[in-house]
Amino acid sequence: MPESNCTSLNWGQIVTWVLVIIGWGIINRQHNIREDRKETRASIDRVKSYSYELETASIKAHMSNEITSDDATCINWKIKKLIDEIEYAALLSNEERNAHAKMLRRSITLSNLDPSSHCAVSEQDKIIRDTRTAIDDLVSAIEKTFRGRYPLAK
Amino acid sequence: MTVKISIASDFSRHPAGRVIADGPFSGESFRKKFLEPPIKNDKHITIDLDGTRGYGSSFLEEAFGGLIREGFLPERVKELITFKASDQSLIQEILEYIDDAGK
Repeated sequence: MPESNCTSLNWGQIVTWVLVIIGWGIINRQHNIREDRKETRASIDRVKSYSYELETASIKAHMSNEITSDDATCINWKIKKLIDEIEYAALLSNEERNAHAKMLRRSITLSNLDPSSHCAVSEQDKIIRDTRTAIDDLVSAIEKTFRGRYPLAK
Repeated sequence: MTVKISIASDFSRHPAGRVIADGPFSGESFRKKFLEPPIKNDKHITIDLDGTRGYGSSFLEEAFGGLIREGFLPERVKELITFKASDQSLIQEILEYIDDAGK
């Protein structure tokens, strides 16, 4: 009988420890997901901030009467910074990232951003519309990925 | 023999502009100085696109699409030039400009 009590006590301890470990595992996993979500959200907020900064600078440049090569260089740099941030944070698949990168560069820098051929365009011009579309599409794609990755995130 | 070109080291960290009138580091300037001479001599070129502070599409279009307008054949240009870039979208965009200029 004492042997049986001892065995019973051991099993109780084992079950307790198993439950503790499983509980710790669940809490640790949830904590990691929350931290990962927070980091991803911070990256998305940075990308959105860079995107709107780029949109404002690009539209201002295209609508201004005169631009310099420094203005163009600055916009090229903002695009690169934005694309790099998307890559570092793995916010999109490579295919999606490349498609958005090309669309952004083309819509903003293919025409009218060179001093020799620049002319001020209106708010309704195709360049401005394409710029806004490229930025909106990028932000939407990133938000969609976030919602897919963290379905309960608000 | 392969000619190796790093745009950031050999040309500029700030390439920008389409034509020479846009500044000293334009696509036209890069094409005339670094691309046309080796291609005329059928030399292979490896171009490293990393290290700059970004590219404008007008620079890329004029540098590479401009080769086709200068009379080089798109297929030959693609055979002779090899690109290296951490941002693959740059390579895709350049190849599209070469194809588009050939249409």
